[in-house]
Amino acid sequence: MHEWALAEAVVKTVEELVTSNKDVRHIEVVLGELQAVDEGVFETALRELLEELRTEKGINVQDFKITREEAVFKCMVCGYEWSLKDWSIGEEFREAIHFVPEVVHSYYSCPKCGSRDFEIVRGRGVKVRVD
Amino acid sequence: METDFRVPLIRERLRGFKLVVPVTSPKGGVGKTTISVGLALALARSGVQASLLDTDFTNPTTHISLGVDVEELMPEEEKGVLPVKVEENLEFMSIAFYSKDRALPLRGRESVDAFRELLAVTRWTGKVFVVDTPPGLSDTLLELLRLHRKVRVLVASTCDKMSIVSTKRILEFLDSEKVESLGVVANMCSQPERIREALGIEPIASIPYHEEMPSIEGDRDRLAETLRPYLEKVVKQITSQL
Repeated sequence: MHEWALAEAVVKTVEELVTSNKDVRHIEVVLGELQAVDEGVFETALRELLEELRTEKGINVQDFKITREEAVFKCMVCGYEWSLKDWSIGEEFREAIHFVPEVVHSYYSCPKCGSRDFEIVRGRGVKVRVD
Repeated sequence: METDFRVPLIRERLRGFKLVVPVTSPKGGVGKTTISVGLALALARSGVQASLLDTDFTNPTTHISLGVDVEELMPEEEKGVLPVKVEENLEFMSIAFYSKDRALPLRGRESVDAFRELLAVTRWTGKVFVVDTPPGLSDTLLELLRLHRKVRVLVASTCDKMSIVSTKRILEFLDSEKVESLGVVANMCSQPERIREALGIEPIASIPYHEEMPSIEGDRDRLAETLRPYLEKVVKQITSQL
């Protein structure tokens, strides 16, 4: 239930925005492919926590949607760009990367030159957009 | 508007501590990790619920000093992540539980992301948060100061010229940021008066060089026993602020 903490962070952000007089009507939560968040578990937690926010603090968010973002990496040495189609994350490393996506640097390297000095261009983890 | 959704929850979690104590120094090799572990153990064994986090993400070693086997252990998941209970009153978290003892090359933004992720998902229960920081005016120290202004920094220094100049720099920085310091721990130091003479302050603790120190890293009881007498004043100062 690590997803619970991620959903809790989203709801805490909404609460902070509203209490600082920002109008929050819609939330878009972007799930980055690398972190492999379980969408079903996350969505259930988010619904439950938003309901608590409504009943306990009177903050009502009309709508939220969850979208996904493909993970893309770029090598800082040779400039090669790749996605998870070129790497399949081994089962034994998935849990570690799920908790802290940056540890991908401990287990994987650039498919072209072998360097572990690469950046996660997008699709790292959870991002939130509000309007 | 895109926002870092982790920050409000991190602030709330940090407010759960009565005191946040980063152990820091701009210079490497002065004993930050040993002092962090010694302090966390001294607090825990004085009955204070202590939490310890290793933020040296590219080279975490606190678990080695604590004698925690990261190859075998993985923090439990429960509405987030529960830090590993090392002993009564002491809980611990490190990225090494996830990276194991492999190299972890991270650039600045990624270190900050890893730090925020761990702070957001870890459900601490301690009252004093001891944070072992990497050398330098590091990203993690700057982040901590930004996320939680009520920190009390403990500066580690040896007594050689390079370390004293580095200590002077960090004290100046903390002063300019209006961040309070618990004081300077003179470590591996036979002449603590050099700190007094150069910086005009009395070290809060002075730990002499112990030849056997490398061999007792990983042995919590011996480490606690060796360091506790030197760190008593730091423990007293912390407990007086709880």
